[in-house]
Amino acid sequence: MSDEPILSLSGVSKSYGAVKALQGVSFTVARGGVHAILGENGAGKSTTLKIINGEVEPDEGEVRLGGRTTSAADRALGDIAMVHQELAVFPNMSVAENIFVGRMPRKGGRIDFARMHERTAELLQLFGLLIGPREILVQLTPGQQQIVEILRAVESDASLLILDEPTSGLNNVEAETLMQLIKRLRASGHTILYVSHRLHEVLDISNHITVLRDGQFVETLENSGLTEDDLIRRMVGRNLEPVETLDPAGLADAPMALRVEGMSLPEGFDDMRLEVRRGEIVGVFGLEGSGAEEFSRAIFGVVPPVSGRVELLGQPVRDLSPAALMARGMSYLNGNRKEAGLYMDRSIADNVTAPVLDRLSRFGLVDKRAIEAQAREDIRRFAIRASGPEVLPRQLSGGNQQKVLVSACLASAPEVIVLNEPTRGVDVGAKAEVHEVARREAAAGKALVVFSSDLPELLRLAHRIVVMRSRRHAGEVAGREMSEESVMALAAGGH
Amino acid sequence: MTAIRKTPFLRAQRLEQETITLAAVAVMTLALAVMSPAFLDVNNIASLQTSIAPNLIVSLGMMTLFMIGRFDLSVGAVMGISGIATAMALNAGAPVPVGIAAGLAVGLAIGAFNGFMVAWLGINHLIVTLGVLYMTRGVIEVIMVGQKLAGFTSFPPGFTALGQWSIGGVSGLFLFALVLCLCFELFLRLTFPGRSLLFLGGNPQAAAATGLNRRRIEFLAFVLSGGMAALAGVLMTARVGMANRYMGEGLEMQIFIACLIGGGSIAGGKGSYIGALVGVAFIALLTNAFNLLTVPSEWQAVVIGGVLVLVVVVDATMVLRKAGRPWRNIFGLRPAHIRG
Repeated sequence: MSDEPILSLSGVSKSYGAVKALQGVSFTVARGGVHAILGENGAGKSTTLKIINGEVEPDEGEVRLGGRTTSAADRALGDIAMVHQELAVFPNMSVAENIFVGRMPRKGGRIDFARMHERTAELLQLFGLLIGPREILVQLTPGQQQIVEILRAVESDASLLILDEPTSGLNNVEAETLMQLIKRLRASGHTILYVSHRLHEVLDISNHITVLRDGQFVETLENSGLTEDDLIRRMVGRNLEPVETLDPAGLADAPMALRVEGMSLPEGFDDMRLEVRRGEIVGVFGLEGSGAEEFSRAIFGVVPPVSGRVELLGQPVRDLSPAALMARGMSYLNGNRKEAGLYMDRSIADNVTAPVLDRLSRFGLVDKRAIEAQAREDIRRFAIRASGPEVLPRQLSGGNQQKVLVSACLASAPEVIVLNEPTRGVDVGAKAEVHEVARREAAAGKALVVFSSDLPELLRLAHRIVVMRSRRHAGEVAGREMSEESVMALAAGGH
Repeated sequence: MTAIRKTPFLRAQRLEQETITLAAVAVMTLALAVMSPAFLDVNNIASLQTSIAPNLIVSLGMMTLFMIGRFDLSVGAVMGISGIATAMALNAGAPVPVGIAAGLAVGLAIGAFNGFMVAWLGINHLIVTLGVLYMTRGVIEVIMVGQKLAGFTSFPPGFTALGQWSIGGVSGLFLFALVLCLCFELFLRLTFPGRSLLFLGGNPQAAAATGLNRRRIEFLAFVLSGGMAALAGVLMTARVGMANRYMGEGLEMQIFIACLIGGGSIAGGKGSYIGALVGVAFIALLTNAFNLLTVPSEWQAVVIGGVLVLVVVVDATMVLRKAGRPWRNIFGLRPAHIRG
């Protein structure tokens, strides 16, 4: 084995618009063994992988592969096989066909099925999998499908294998099988770049661990004698402005506003529970693939769960659909304002009054004047910077669009408010204003649930944070116990 | 170490749906043979062959599109206009091969237009092929203005012989369609281009990532569909000795249903040419049963439409079941399944 590192990044930077995804990242990956990349949401892991895999050209810096400086195009064609987080398998085809797609052995114009099945059986046996090469993929579990996809990358004989969150969709047994597979690959001399949020996995299989934080390189560690706490400290460790802690006192006696029990959605999340009292702001946090995103949609019936029990303002909910929940005093802020939140080509007035048109109508006819009055009121109340109610959201900045969305969400004067990623992609000023609105609503006795992948935001805003991991409820922290370390320990740690 | 469970043959070959339909075809054949003495009559067998042959040829093209998650509603109209194009060329004194080429060229051109619109311009295939269906029917009306209802009826004997030869009492056209079907099936099962249809239908993004050219395959599949419809149109014109505005009318729905029953899926990634044969045979037998049992023709449309709805519902239900949705959720009995 040569000492030449298989991969080295030096001074790699990448920006998307004003957002700096990576700043001067440098590290090297040695030949042979498992090298893990760790970081919080938004730490720059995906961008790093995309640059290494040749999907994105960095703005600055160079990437050397096997000692040679390479361009993104070189790497895209070259010696790297990447398995993405989302399954990219063919559910309608056999295991053998999935492994050999694009490289099927041929004999005189025909596919050499005999050789293909033989080689597949060899591979499956090598990694201790009890699957037949002719089995159709849809019959396998998600974990087995993931393994088949990894075998496709193994069979391609690439010298560098990238696995991006391979266990995020798997249960513990399947994840364990995958760990065995990776250990065997490591033993047979493969080089694997491994990205995962599950710290115990990373500690279990990797030789080296590189930590990224806020788009910057923190440290590459030798994996010997490390603990989960060592890793968490390096992943978080950023300076926060002093947190103005909300006083949870007196909330314990407030009436229950929303109670969720045993809610499940296959391939989404399992047995989730949540309790929110009047006047309380509860944050829900989970790393990518933890099921928090699915839970946020299920709770408002956008993607209905298949089982569970929901109580809203003391009454059991039988019809968990957005329309029925809104009628009973619940409201939801959609996390994606461009695709599902705003009517981009309708005026601000139309957007903020859409949920309450029936209230602003007389004899079934929409009252234009009432709409305009309501819109002017909202523009003032939420400090939306727009010249008037007739302006289209398309013409506004991201922050002001978000404020329009928030005012539409609050238009029906809801008692229970679910905010999904309330400040995604907005500037600092607008963020503070949205937070202020949320605090004001809570102080007025409303109950708020905030889903956010931005942990510092939740720490500042919430009285209590519910943490999800592996598609389940992992724990809760409240009051003084709330810190990045304590939340991350629940979100990324242990079994 | 536990033994690896062997994959059942029918699943490994992806012929499960095809087998069910084949069983239905067998049951129907038996029932008809018992219930109607006219079923096994030489004339009836001959008419069954004549109805299966062109439908099978058209369905080979349609099934190819089904595999990649597309379909073509213009096939009936293409069949009609191709027959007319051939008849016009022959009437103008062109030699037989040139006449046939004229008919095929029209079909291939319409297929290429469909393919261009769908694959390169990204327009929905339902819209494109439905529009082309209307346009083509309109062009047929324009051409046939002033013609008698029977259309073109005089053809050189060299041409009509093409549709009327037989071997040992079996229609030559029927045999030709069967051989064609077999060739397509071998192509699908043994070659990489054949397999790539199913790869593309199963997961378009992943297929593109492994180097398949989605647009090219889609375009060629539409050209093929137009070409097969034209081939069926030309051969049927030779068979019946007529080319008029009625040929192929309503055929697209019959072929569509046959492909679904024969194992295709609107979602793509499924289907086989054997399945197309079985599906076409099913529809032909159903129609034949109505005639033999003297069911009024109005009811035929009702039943065939009902079968279509049933098959589509079953197909969609199976897709949702595979996604792990429970039965009550699929049928929307209670929107969220929340225990009260």
